[in-house]
Amino acid sequence: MADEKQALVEKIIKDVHIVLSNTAELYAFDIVPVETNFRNKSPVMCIENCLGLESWCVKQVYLHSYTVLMDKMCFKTQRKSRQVLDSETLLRLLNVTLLINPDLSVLWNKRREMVQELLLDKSSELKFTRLVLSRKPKCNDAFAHRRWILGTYLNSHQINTMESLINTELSVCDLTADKCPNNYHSWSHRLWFINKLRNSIKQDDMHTLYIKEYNFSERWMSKHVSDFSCFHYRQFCIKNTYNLSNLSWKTFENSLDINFRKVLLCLLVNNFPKDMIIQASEQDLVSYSEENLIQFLLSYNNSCSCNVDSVSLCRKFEILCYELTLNSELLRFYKHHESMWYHRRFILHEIIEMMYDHFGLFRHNGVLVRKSCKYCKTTDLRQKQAKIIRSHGDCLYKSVLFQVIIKHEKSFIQERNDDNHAVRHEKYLKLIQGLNNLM
Amino acid sequence: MSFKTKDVVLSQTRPTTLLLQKHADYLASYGLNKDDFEYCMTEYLRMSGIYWSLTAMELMDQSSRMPKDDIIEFISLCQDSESGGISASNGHDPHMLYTLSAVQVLAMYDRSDAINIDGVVKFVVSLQQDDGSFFGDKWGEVDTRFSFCAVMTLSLLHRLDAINVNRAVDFVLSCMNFDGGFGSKPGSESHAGLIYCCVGTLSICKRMDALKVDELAWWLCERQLPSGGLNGRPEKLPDLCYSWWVMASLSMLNRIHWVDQEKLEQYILACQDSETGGFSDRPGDITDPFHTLFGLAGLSLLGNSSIKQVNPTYCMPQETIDRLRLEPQILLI
Repeated sequence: MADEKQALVEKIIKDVHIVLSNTAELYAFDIVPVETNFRNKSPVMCIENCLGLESWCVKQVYLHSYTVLMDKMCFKTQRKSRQVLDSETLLRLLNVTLLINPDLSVLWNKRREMVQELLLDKSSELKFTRLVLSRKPKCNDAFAHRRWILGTYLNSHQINTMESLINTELSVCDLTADKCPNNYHSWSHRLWFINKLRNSIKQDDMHTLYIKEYNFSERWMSKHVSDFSCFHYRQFCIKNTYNLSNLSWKTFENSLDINFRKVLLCLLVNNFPKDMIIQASEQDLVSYSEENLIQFLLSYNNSCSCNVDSVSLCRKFEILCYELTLNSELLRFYKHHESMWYHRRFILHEIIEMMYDHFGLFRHNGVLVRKSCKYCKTTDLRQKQAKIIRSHGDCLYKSVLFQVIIKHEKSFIQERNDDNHAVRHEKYLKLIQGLNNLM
Repeated sequence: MSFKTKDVVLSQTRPTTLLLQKHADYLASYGLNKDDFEYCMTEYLRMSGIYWSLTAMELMDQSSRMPKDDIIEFISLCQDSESGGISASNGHDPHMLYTLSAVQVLAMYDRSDAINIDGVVKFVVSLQQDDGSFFGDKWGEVDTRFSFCAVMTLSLLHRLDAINVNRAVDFVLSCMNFDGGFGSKPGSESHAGLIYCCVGTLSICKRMDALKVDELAWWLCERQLPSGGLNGRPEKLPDLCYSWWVMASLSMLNRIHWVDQEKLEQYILACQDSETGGFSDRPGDITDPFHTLFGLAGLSLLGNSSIKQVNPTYCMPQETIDRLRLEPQILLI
């Protein structure tokens, strides 16, 4: 009886192996709930490139393969001695055991050793982890295994099909993010991957990728309004656009079919404070250079004579104002979603932080502090600091951009007062962003 | 489309008092009548399982019901002589996570002599990188969890000086986000569990001054849902383990009073199983030692007098931390 059982288990492991090695593009794996072996057929199925294992056999298969691996591979006794199993049998057992329980780091480690010994090839490892993730989209060990494989690829520059590698990786992230909302590991992996590519591909290609990911995150965010992980990734994409070259910026605007400047100006003219005398019409503003526009928005001359990169600063404000507008639209459409309100905090925090930075200030635990200029490294005398902070702070709070943003937020909070998060948002701005006496 | 907050509703018939003896019985018999399959499925985290159960038993003052000698022998067996690191179980590979669990267990038993301490120190030191971060093991995965494991392990052994503490702190701070929270790597999303790890690291390294306290505490308090339970990220369901991660972080920030403690206590108590004993993630789910520890530890932070005082940084009984003369930093208001 015991022999019969063992033979059956070994047959199942072999069947899984056959499917794994004969199906080039396996799409998914899952355990199919079938309580008993009533059909007396193999519990291994392969339908439309998907591998299934009937649940009745899972315990037996797992206990067998796990025990054999832990005993015969000499994991338990002498670590140093070579395994008694040949690499083919070993791989079969590793595959089936990890498909059932992908949290077994010790087995992933074994696979990495086999890759180092050239007993396993890297591209098949990427396929295998994808299969594991199709069933367990939050499995960090599988993502970590991919990071290890990708790390060895990218560090050695042995890639000649970079584009397909990038597409595959992003599609694995799409798949796992789609299967499981708020999938921390998936989004974290995506972010890691993009950062990792920085050292491996040309700057132009990197900028193209930033644009692609920015556009992707916009689509995703509009369809998954309660998935903050995606909003967090969006924030990463936004920050990446800050560094686009002039040429990429043009491509960027064209790809979105959006005139960022227009969005910014529209937000401005609709929210000019009543008590402020504005000596520029929308028409005038359209013709402004970036330098003039920044001068108009912030009317401030840096005390040290260092040049401000007006073009870059202007673009940042444009991106952020576009994001603010987009966020407002989403909030009008979908109510009561904390994620979108949290994203709004980020947008406002970025805008305000940039203004502080422009005025040579930053906030630390609720207190304004003077920053030494990062270009000329001037530092003020300690006595003068308090005075400078006060006067620069005043200039900032009186600036057109600050006034516009405050007015815009106040009216938006009022408009959305049936959403309990609007009240929270106001409190956050006042108490945490330090705008208590300013709005 | 539902406009409701993702949350649970506590039923009228939920437990409302602490079933201490049930939990002690549950943990004492856990793993005794072990189903082989379950046992094999979870062997990869056995060492942490022992830490969860023992700490919970210590907090209930019933640790004498745990098989002390067997546990100590098991830990000795799990130390890898080559790297010095400790694995989750015999035959598994050494890792920072299980090295910490083992050291915590031995600290509670006051039996650090059962392992080669220099080996553990060597292991932790070998995993620190130039940027101050830590690998979890030789395969190179970086995570702020491992930074916390590293500093906690070494501080329990009074060997914190073996690593570059300043760089370790700098790396953790490089994972801070605009909302004051922390993620697993630089740029990763804020997550209550990882916030606990990062705040804990700063507490042990006495660098709590580097936190954006108001932003962080605000974010942490917003984790409380109408049911009283806490989630770990925006728009996620409540989970009992966040009662620990959020509340321990708030304790280190000295702002535990910013949440509704009464409602949280009700939620924690509702996660007990009055039949089997133990706590689960949400009311009505299956209990496990992990949630049982964090339920009890959470109640301890809320001042429940039938549970021993827990230390918010180490998640160990305060008396152990006092005996070791450790003084993790708590922020003064």
